Amino acid sequence: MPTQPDAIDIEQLRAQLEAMYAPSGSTADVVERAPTYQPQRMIDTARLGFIKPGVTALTREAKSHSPDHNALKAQHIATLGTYIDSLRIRKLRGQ
Amino acid sequence: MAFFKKSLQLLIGSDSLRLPTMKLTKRELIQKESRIGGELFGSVPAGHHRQFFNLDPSTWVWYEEWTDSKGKPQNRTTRYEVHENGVLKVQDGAPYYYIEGQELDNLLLATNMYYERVAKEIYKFDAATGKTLAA
Repeated sequence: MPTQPDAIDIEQLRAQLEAMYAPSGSTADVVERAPTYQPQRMIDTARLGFIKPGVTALTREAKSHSPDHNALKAQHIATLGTYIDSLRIRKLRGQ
Repeated sequence: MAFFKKSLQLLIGSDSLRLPTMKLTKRELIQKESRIGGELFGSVPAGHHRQFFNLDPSTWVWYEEWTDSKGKPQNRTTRYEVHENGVLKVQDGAPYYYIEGQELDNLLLATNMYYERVAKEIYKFDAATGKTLAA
């Protein structure tokens, strides 16, 4: 059977995910280093402060599995998709 | 290439393979990305071919092909549709559901890694600094 995200051996992924989390018990100290070319924002990125491309630390919120945080995670994934689409467009335009 | 074509056919129909030149180029970019995406979840079992890629801003695709114990080719396509309230997992023959918990975290991390790697390796863009890298 193929391995799926719900059943994969994620040791490597987990290590990186843990490395991205803020130290246990600490509050978030997120340094925003999002791309400067950001496309038109479709979502409230202020609420996504806990996780953005290129950040090195995430708040404890990122560990939450509440419906609200699940929605934020989905929005973050959508933002990444938008970034990637922007990169493709730039490449196709030869920029 | 065959795996990529097949997965695209499964997802958006065979007509999509007859696209104008610019879209073919975009497809080629996605194909390059999918090779990187296939590496994100660790080693691929012998005899398996795996692809994971971003199809459009709201769709991520996992495609895996393998041969079963009877020598019969098998494949599975999983589509992750990003909605405002969550990520819907879509597989043929399986109930659709919004992923949560560890599965959602895994996807979140995988998409982060995917973005950072394709940005750097294909588009020469450093996601961490927001700066263009030297070609």
